[in-house]
Amino acid sequence: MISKILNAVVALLFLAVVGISIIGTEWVTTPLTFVKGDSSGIVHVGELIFTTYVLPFEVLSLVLLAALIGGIYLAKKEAPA
Amino acid sequence: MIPLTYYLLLAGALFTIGAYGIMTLSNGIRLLMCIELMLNSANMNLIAFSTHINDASGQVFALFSIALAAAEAAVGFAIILMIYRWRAEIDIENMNLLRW
Amino acid sequence: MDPTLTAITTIDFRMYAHWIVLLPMIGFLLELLIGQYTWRKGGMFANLSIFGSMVISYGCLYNVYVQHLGFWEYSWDWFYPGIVAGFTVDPLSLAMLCMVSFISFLIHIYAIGYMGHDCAKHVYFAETALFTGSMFGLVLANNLLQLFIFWEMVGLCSYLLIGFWWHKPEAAAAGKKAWMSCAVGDCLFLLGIAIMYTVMAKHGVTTEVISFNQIFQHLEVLSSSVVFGIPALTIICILFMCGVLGKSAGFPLHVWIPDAMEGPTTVSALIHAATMVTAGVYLIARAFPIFLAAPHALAVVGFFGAFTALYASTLGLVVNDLKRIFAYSTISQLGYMITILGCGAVIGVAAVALALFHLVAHAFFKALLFLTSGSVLHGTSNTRDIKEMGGLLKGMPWTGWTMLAGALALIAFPFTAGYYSKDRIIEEAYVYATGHGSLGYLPWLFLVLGVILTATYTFRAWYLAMTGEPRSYLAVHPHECDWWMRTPLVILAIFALGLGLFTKGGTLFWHFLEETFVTATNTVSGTYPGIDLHEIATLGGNHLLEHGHAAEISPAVIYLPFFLMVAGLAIATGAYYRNRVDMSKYIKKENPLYQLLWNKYYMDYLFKDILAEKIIMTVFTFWDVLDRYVIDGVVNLMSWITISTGQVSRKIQTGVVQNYATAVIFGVSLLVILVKLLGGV
Repeated sequence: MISKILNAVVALLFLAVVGISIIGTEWVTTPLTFVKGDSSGIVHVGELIFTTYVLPFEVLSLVLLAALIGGIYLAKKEAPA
Repeated sequence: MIPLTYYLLLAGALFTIGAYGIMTLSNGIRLLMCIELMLNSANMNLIAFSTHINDASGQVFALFSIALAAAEAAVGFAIILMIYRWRAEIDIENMNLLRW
Repeated sequence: MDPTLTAITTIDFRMYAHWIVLLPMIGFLLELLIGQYTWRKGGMFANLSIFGSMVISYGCLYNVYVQHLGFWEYSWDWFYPGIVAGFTVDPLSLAMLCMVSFISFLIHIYAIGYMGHDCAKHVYFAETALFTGSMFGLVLANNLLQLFIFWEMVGLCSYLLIGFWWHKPEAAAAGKKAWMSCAVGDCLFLLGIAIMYTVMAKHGVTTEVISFNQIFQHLEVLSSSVVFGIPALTIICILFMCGVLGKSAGFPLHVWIPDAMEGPTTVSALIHAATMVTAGVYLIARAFPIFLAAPHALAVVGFFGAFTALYASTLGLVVNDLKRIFAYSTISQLGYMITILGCGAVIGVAAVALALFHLVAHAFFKALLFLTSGSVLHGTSNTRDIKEMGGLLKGMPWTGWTMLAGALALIAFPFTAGYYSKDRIIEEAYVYATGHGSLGYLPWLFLVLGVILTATYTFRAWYLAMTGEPRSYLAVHPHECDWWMRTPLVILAIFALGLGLFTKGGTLFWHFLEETFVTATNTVSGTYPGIDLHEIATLGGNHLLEHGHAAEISPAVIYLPFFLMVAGLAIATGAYYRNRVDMSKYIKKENPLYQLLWNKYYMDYLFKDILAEKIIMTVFTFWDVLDRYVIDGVVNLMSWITISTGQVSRKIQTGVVQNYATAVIFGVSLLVILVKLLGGV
C-alpha cells in the first residue's frame, strides 16, 4: 500500500512537471496549409513515405520481418524430445 | 483549430497513466499494455507537432513508430509466453533473479 | 710484399674498435635464436664472432705497436650533457683485449668438445659470447658509466653461467651467491661513480664528465674537494676498491669464488682467466692516476691485496676439490696483482705494467689449469675429489703434462711465464717496503709467504691427481679428451711456459704498457695530453722513484722467492709423491689449525649464519611485524570499508522492474526540475 502511494506521488510529480513545462512554454506555431484535393494531407504523407523516407521504410519492413521470425521462434512449442 | 497545448497535456496525462501502470502493476501483459500507452502518447506528440509546424514528416514517423510498436509487442508477448512456460506465471515481481 | 697483405696493413683497425664489442653481441643473438639449428647444434656463431673480435684486437695492436699510429679515443654523445658512450684504444686496453679475445677463443674451441653432449649447448654458447662481449665493452669503455654497465653485464653473465646447470641446487645457490657478493661491491662502486660525477660537475666540467681522460686532466682541482672532512678522491677510490673486492674476489667478498666451481669448467676458466675477475684489476689499472692522486688509497689497495694473497693460499692447502684448489690460487694471484698496483705509490706506472703482465701470464696458465682439470672431470665421469684420483698421468698424458706446464708457471718455476711476472712483483713490493717503514714490509712479507704455500698446494694437487696409484674405480680407466679440447691445451701450455721468453722476459710488454697515461691520446676533436704522474703523485702525498733509479736490492731478496718456491715444491714432493710424511697425522678433526682452514676461517659461517640469519633476519622480523600489522592493516581497512558499504548499498538493486521504472520516472522529474531551477531551456 505504501509503495502504491509512493508510486502515485511520483506519477503526480511527473505529471506536474510535464504539465508545468508544457503550459509554461511559449509555443511558436505555423498554421497548417491545406492543398486542394488533399484535405487530410494523406497524399502528401504517402509521397513522403515513398520518396524521402523510402530507405527507413524498407529497413522497417526488415525489422518487422525479423521481429516476426523472432516472435515465432520464441513462442513456438518445443518439439517433443 | 485545437491549441497545441491541449494535445501536449493530453499526451502528458496518457504518459503518466502508462508510467503509473508500469510502476504499480505486476502482470506482464498489463505492463506491455502500459508501454503501448506511453508509446502512443509519444505518437500523439509527433502528430500534434507535425500539424502545428506544417511539416508532414512527423506523421510519417508516427506511422513508423506504430509499426515498431507492433514489432515490440510481438517480441514482448513471445517473451512473456516463454516465461509462462518456464514458471507457469507471468508475475513480473517474482522475476527478480537479476539483483545483488 | 703480397698485395693482399699490403692492403691489410693499411687498414686502420682502430676505427673499427666498436665492432670488437658488437660482434659477440651479434653472435649472442644469433646463437640464442638460431644456434640450435646450425653446425653441431650450437657454437658456430659464438666462435666466429669471438674470432672476428680477436682479429680486430690484434689489428689494433699492430696499428699501435708496430705502425705507431698513436692512441685513439672516440665518443658519441649519449644522454644528458656530459654522458658519453665511447671507446679508447691504448696499451692498457690493447693488452687486455688481445689477452681476453685469445684466451676466450681458445676456451670456446675447447667448449665445442667439452660441452659436446649438453642439450642446451646453444644457450651456453650464447651466454659465453655475451660474457666475452661484455668484457670487451668493459675494457674498451672510456668512461665510468659505460664501464659500470658492462661491469654489471659481466656479473649477470657469470650468474647465468655459474648456474648453467640450474637443476642442481648447489649450482643455483652458487650463482646466487656470486651475484649477491658482487652486488655488495657493485653498489658501493656505483656510489663512487656518483660522487665522482658530483665532484666533477661541481668543478664546472660539462663535457665528458666521467670520462677517464677528462678526470685525469682535472685531478689537480679535484684533489681540493673534501667530503665529510675526508678528501673526495680517497672516498671515491675506497668505494671503487669495494667494487674491485667484489669482482676480483678480494678478501671479505671472495666467498663466491669456490662455490662458482659448480658451473661448467669452461665457465670457470673464462671467469678466472679472461672475463670476470680480471675486471677488478683492470679497473684499478685504468683508474690508476685517480688512485695515485688520492691520499692513502693505494696503501689500502696494497694491504688488501697482499692479505688476500696470503689468506687464499692457506685455504688452498686443505681443499680436496681439484677445481677449488685452482679457484683459491686465482684469489691468491689476484691478490698479487692488486698488491703491485698498490705499490704503484712508489714505482708509478710501472706498477700497471707489472700487474697487467702478471694478469696476462696468469690468464694463460690459469685457463690452462682449469681446462686440464675440466679434461680430468670429463675423463673420469666428474670426479672432482683429488683423493679419489691418482695415476691419471698414464691414462691421460696430454692432460697430465700440460697441467704440469700450468702448475710450473703458477709456482713461478724459472723461465716460465709466472717466473718473469711474479718474482718481479715481489721484488717491487720490496722496493715499496724500503720506502714505507716497518709497516710497509707487510705486503712483501705476505707475498713471500704466499710463494711457498702456492708451490705446496699446487703440486699437492698435481701429485695427488696425476701420480701414484688410482684410488677409486673411476680413476683406473680415464679416457683422454678429443682433439677439440687437446689443441687449446697445447697452445695454452706453450704460452704458459714461453710467454716470458717471447717478450724478452716481459720487458717488451712493460715498455709498451708504461706508455699508458703519460702519452697523449688522440680524439676526433683534439688531443688529451699525457699526464705527469710525478705531479699527480704529490697530490696524494706519494713520492715516485725516478724511472730507472731503482733502489739497490740485495741479491738475497731477489732470489728469496726462488728458494721459497723450491722449498714449497720439496714439501709437496716429500709429502705427496715420496710419501715421507704421514699427512693423516696432521689432517684430522682434532687439529685446530686444520679445522680453521677446513672451515675457511669461518667466513661462510660469519656471512650466512651470523650476518644473514641472525642480524638481518632479526631486522626483517621487526619489519615483517610492521608490514603485517601496520601497512597491511591500512590496506585491509580500506577494503573492509568498501566491502561493508557495498553490502548495504547493493540492496538498492532489487531486481524488480517496477522499482527501476519508478526510479527512472522520479529521476527524469528531478532532472527537469533541476534544469528549470538552473534557468535552462
